[in-house]
Amino acid sequence: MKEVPLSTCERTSLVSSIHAGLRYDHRKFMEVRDITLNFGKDFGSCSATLGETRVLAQVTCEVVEPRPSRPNEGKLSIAVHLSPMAAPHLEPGRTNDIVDELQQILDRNIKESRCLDLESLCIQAEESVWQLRLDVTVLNHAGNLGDACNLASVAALRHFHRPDVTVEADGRVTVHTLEERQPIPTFMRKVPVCLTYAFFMEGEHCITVMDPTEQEERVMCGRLVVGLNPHGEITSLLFPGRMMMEKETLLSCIRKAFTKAKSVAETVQQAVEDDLTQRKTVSVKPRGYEVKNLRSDTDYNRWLIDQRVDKRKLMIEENVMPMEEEMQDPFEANVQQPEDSEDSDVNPPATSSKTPLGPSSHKKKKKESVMANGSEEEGDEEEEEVKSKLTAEDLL
Amino acid sequence: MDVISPEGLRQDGRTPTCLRDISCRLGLYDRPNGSAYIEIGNTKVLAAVYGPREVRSLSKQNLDECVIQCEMSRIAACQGERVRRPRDQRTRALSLQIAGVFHAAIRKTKYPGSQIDIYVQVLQADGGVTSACINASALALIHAGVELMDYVVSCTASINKTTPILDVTQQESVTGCEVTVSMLPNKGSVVSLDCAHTLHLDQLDEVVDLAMEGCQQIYKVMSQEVETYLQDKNAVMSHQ
Repeated sequence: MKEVPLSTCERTSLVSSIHAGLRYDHRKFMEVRDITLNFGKDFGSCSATLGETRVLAQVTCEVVEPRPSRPNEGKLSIAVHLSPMAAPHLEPGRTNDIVDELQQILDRNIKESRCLDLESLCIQAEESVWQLRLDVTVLNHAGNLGDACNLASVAALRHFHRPDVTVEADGRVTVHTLEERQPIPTFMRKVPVCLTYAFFMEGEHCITVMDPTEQEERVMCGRLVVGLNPHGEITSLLFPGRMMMEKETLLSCIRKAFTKAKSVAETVQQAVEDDLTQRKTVSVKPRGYEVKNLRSDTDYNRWLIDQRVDKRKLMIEENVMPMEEEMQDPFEANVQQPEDSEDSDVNPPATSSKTPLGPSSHKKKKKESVMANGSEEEGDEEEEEVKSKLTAEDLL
Repeated sequence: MDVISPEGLRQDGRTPTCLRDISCRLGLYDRPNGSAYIEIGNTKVLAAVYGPREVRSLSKQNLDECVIQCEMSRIAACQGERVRRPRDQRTRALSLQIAGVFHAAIRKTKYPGSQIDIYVQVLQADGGVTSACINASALALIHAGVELMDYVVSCTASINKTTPILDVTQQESVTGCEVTVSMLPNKGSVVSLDCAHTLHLDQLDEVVDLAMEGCQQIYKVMSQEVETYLQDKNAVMSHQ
């Protein structure tokens, strides 16, 4: 099926609303959609949602012979699957441009950055090593697949446990089942995070928007995908052209991504740890994906509207005119951009101490926090916790 | 082995901010509309451009601007190890990137409803393959007479501990990162940025700066070659 083209009026409406400082989903320009991580029954199975984008990642392992060039290192292979399930215009069984690009992003962020200790996957040098296979399946394409795939893969790899093995004196290898012996977690030193910026040109002026939705992706002039970890290392960088940019604009985007990456990495770590401790403490076996964990798009939109209504009620209670606030906010964000970049120029830690000043930064962080494995109230509680932790750290 | 010796020189005797020898040629073949060849040290790339011509698949046709397609392939013996497949996932991703660069540089509205195809063949790969491909394609497009905003020049840079190094070879990129910057040299704006392997955030600025300096040097060589090509052609034409 051919991709349904966007009509000219849809296109102009979206572009003009962005020029006016507004987005269709009421987000601010530098706001990422909600991140949710759900874990399956087995270790190493994770489904991540980024707004309505949904990605499932599954890690499996097997014992194989190592590469002759690297006899004491395990193997890691990553495969991305995109089917018509994700979007109607994708054709089954054919590689397309999106898959190639996603594969490159994941390879660079996870494989080439060497965030996973491959030497710990060695059983016997030159004889046998573990091979981890990471299969990433896109379930719903609603924009920004790079970030969503990276999120799901990192969470799945951190969550994964491999069976324990013993090597006998005569070189026989026994693989113990998960019931016999405690499985061993994968050792992941750094959490790679992927962040996407979309650029819209307004004459000479360039508007930068984070985490574009599918519609925005189809209209945008160009984009920048940054893969980095909270330690400040850039693992991948992809600015595939399509437009001209000043060097300074690009670099300031990359610098800004760093603070964001920290909070995203924390969210992932927290979600994985929560699930693992729950698995340890609760004697009942995890039940995996369940109907109540799966959130439909209508549920999600309903939840977003509820949130907005609550926020408005709160504002009325505080005697703030809601209309003014909403009208001002996007413009403020727009104006603040250059200042932010200057701040981050000087010293990245300095900005983090400044962030708790504005109330909007709290809200931003709150949005990103996880709602893992539970109903909406539980999720809210967790949000509160993460939020308090974040602000506490910021103040330090 | 150290990338930079105690004397401050690299494996091939260059200083950290020195480019490899560059030589290029325009117009090797008659059949394509434009063709070019570039050598950056041991990296050798051939590019051919067809178009602007009729769009092959009508579903892709765009009546406002032209379609740009790029296909990159490597010959089997371009590296130390035999390349099994001339086109794999990696070259496809690179082709996309090259096409993206020229989406920014070609005046697309000048060729509505038509298509420009760029075919790039890597003859020998020794670091900086992407940048060599972009440079060769730019020359081929100039030879084809396609209207460009500016030259497109690309260069790689890396960092060894704290010393930024320009134009990395295969051997040097194994130990460090490889940042490829493509820019329009007269406008000074970046059209593509790409980083493989890890690089620290604080070092990014100087690496990108160095790569951009390298771009300016490559630009001089490229524009020189285009000028001599045009002079030769002019001489032949006037003789006839």
